[in-house]
Amino acid sequence: MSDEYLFEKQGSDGEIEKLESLLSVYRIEPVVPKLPTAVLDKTLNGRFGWFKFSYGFAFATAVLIFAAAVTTLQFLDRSAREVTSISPVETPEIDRPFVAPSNADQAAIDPPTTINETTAEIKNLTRPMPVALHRSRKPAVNNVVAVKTPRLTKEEKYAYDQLKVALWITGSKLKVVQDTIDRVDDKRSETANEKR
Amino acid sequence: MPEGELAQKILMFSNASAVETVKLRPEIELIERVRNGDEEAFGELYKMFASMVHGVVLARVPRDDVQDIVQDVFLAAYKNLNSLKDDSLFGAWLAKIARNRAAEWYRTRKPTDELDESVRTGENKHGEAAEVLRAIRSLSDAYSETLIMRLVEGMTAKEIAERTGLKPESVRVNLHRGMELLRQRLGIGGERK
Repeated sequence: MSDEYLFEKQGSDGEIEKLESLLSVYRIEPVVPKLPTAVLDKTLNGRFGWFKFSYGFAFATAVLIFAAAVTTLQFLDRSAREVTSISPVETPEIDRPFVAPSNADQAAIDPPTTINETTAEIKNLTRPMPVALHRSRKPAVNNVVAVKTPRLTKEEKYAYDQLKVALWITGSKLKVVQDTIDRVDDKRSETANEKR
Repeated sequence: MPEGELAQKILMFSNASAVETVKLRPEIELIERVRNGDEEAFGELYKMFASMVHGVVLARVPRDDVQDIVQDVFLAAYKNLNSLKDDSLFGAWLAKIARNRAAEWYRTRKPTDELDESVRTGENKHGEAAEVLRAIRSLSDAYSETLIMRLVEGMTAKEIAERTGLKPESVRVNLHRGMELLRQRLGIGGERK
């Protein structure tokens, strides 16, 4: 037995060769792992650190713009309510419509009477009247709802336009971020599935 | 010697030294290519170091889980490649990841007993192999890793030293002493030359 074979596999050594032969069943079967595309972490090197930072910055900006937009819209809405007067109209609800009995039906039921009797009966006559289940305290003026567009000053209109543009840009940025996240998740799940 | 000429000579020497280093350690160029997104270079790195990683993991973890852990080790290396400060230490770094993953496997695994290889396969040869592997694993880590790389993966002492970042002398000592201990454990004799 020689160390030459043990160290450099030169010459021969029956004992070691037998062990090698026995243990060869455990030898690796090389299968190169499939790499996820977006997994390379470049943060520590700092080469692409700005890339992740930009994502974070974009997200924070989007949140701020959204909050500002909501606040501004609420303010504008409140202003519009103060400017516009709207009279609420409530239509009284009726159980069933009033239907007057026809003369022929009335004649068939009741025999002819004298004028005095008729007058007395008319006094006692009750007829179904429309009943309003919910009546508003203020009577309706008309059925037309007065809607006025809020009057904006020049500055407010400019701010509103800018806000719309900002929201549009933010929406598109958020969509890009969401698409990227979805793509990374898909790749991860693909890798996980392949590993299984 | 004028300063300019001296500087030029130093530059030439350093360039030649850098070229020599890349020739001696081809993984350095591969690592740089991987960093630039070259997947083929990663495949070459895998082929170069898979045996070493497999040896390190097999010295600690049951055979059935070794392949998965090896894959995990390479994926982890790929993800964190930029945290590697000195590319010439890639092998040692990779071996460390492999050892950590193996330790993590023991921390997270369910407490089960591994079925004996001979019982599983029903083959006498595999039974012997399992017995030898068990004997190797019973040695200390330095010996068992080196012996598995040599006897299972078929690497030479020089290759083991290059891949693990150990000194060739240390590898030889580990192989020699480890082999002696293994022979004692297995009850096989013979004088070494």
